[in-house]
Amino acid sequence: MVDLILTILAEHGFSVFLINERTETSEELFFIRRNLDMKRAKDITKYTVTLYRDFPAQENGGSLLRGFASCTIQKSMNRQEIEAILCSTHESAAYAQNPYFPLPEPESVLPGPVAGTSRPKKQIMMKQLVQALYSSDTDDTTYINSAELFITTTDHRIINSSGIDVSYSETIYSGEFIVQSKQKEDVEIYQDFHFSDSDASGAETDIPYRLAQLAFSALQTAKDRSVAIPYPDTAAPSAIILEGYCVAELFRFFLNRCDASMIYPNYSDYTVGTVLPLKSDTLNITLKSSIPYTPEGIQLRDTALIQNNRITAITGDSRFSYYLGIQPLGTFKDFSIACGPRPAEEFQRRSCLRIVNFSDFQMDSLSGQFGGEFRLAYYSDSQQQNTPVTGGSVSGNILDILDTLKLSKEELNLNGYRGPKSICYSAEKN
Amino acid sequence: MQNSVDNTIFNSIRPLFWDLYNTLSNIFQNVSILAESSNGRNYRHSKSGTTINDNMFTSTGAVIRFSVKGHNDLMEYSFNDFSREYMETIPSILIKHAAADSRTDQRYTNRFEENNTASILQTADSGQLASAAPDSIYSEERLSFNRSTEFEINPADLSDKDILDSLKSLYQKALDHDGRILDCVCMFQYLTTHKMFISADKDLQQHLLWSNGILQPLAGTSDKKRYYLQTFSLSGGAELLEQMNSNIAYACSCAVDLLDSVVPTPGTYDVICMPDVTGLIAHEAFGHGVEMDMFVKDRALARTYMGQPVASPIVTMHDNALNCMECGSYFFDDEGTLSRDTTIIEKGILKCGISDLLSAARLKTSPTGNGRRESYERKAYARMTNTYFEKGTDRLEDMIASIENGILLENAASGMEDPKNWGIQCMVNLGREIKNGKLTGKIFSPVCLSGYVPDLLKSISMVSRDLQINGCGCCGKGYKEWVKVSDGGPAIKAVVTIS
Repeated sequence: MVDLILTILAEHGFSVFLINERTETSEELFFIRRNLDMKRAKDITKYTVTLYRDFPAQENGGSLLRGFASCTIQKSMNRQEIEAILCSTHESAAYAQNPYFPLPEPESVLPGPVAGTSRPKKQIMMKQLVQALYSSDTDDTTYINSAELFITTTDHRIINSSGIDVSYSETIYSGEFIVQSKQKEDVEIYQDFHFSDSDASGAETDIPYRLAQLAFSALQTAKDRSVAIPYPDTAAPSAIILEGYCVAELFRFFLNRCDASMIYPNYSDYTVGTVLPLKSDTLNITLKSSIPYTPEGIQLRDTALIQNNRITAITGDSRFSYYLGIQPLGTFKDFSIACGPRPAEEFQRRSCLRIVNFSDFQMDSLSGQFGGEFRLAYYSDSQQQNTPVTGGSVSGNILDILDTLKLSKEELNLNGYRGPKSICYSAEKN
Repeated sequence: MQNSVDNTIFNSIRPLFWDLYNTLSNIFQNVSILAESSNGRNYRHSKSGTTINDNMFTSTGAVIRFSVKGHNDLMEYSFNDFSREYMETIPSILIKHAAADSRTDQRYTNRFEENNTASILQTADSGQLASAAPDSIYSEERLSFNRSTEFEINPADLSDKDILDSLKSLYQKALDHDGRILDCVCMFQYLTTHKMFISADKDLQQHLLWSNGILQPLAGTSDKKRYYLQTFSLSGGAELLEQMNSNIAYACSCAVDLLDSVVPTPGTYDVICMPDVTGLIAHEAFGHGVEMDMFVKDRALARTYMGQPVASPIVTMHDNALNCMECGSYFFDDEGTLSRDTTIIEKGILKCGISDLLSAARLKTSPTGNGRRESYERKAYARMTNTYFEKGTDRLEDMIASIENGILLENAASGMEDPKNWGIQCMVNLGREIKNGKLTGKIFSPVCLSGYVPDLLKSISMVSRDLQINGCGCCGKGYKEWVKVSDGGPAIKAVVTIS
């Protein structure tokens, strides 16, 4: 199919292009309680083609313009259909004109072998995931209510008219499960997960181990939520502790704010050298190249985004990076944060609210506002210690909490985030 | 509406799918095939530039559902190669897929056992369904149709230039509206969806077109930036662009107003929810809680409240895929069940949930035509369509006048369902202070609604006489499985907790 697309592009003189080929195969299991509810599989291949057209500077007030538009080529399309959609997309590119930017070019040093190329068979791994998920499900009052498990292998090929022709493959082990507890109140906890064979030291053992840990933790959280009392109106914690994946969602603010697509339209004023006003702990964020290339073909490398509270890189695709006059580093999904110097238990030496489960944690990258209703937290003050509470909410602005922000020594490794498991900030100011 | 969506797209491949169906029916039972071809575009203009991309729901492929003869254990296979060569290999692929299933008849029981892990593994390996569907999930009555929705202007017939010129004009109007408008994201998107469903009792085709518009002006000063999101939607075509043109000034004024916003003091307030916030409550606070696959999993409190009061007697709520000119509309769902208007709450009494085919079979209820997939690549779940409260008899100005100290809420931002415990978490972007029956001009943002669903629904004391439904967003099941829905209602007066 790629050869056919390339032939049609050449025949029509569509000389500037990007082709993304994506083949996905999956095994999927759906459980209700311990019973298999459905078994699914898929085998699909899709092609996305982006076509570019340039418009000379003399026709546009001195500015060289580049129009572009993209389309999806389905595997079921015949030659005539492909030709028609490519011609239509080329026509569309004439109207989506933007300031010129170059496409990425191949790098002289190609990346090494991609992790996971000798990955275990799906059927074997699925058995291990099922075993891991249910390994702690031994209680008749707190148990896994339902679960969905997916093992998806995706083969990517990226070709552009500047000479890039690269491929890689990744396998994602993902899913979600619900834990129900009837210890006192009938409650549930939602947990999703997403592991890549590229971030596992040995997928066959590491990923099931991490899933088992996650399930164990979720079962404990559900038990505590079941006996939790409503968060008292009179509670006045002096510190807020956020624990779990919400920490990653909070810090994703900096990934978004340091991206050229937010800086170019002035949604963010961050630049290399901007110093963040942390006073207690030091923030170090590293972007992780869990996949070797962006969809544009930009080669990803582990990149220090923030070092010692100072922004050291601006990420972005080729277009917005060119507009800002910087080298395109690509956009990253995964990142790590250096842990703090002290264990999380030190955060709890004064009155505090430790939130471990939100119904939906929200982070607004434009304003910095964050918050949500929590399903389980632990409240401590001079009268009580670690009382499970539920039904309250917390809100704040990340820019306002930086000066009192502390990072835990304990680490969380989940869904592409590796870093402090919890953070603490003063509630007195917020 | 004068035009209908093209209903001939499957003509050339339909015989191929029937051949496949007939072959598979000789090998398996409960065979059905859903084929899909969805195409559309997304046009965007803002300070960041101009883009034309495929609509996020663009997709062409098919999913086969089947079970091994002698068993009722359903399996599915998704593919997107419609060549005769590939289609002829599918029976052998499915035989391989189901091979373990035919080797054993062992069922896993729901009772906890000492060696539960081993049993679960065996179940997973064999593909056995312990909570199996009935012998046949299809009726004996045969149904065949080929239906299309209507539109005034087919976006595919407009030139890209025409659509982008409309968006660029809206963008310029936004910048000209007020010097504090820094940017305005202007978007128009449409999707044409063609679906064909084949089973023992069904030979169905449907051809649908929806369009969406977004205006998101960003206002800013040296130290503050705020945006307002105005959305537009319909089951139809590019006639939507005219609606967008008439609302740009209001959206920009709201964005500027938000620059002076403050966070409200937490507490309990009398509020007026404008139709978009009413829709958010209908969808998030209650709609998810009556998705009956959650009943099967013991995940929904609503199951125990059937026939009981859950809302004020002036509240009636529907999920209606059949009679709304909105984005959640269709003629049949992704399991071949015909769509309908389901009354969920009638005069405050919880009457009915919404179900997919398998949930209905397991609960021994009638399917309501709510089995929906994100695409042919995904599993079907019980999902909402167009969900809304019925209109009432009150005038909005009387509702505002009846409030001594409260907030008028508009511009719904986000919400999260809690079917198990009926908790509410809804974020609203803009609140207008009401004092002594009048709007004071003071603006609150963001406003976070929390509390207990029946408390909120039972507190509804006034319902306005107009009804608005909007379907610009997508609905997830948890954090995935996105489908197009709409929600809305009239303005309602209620008592809510703002945290």
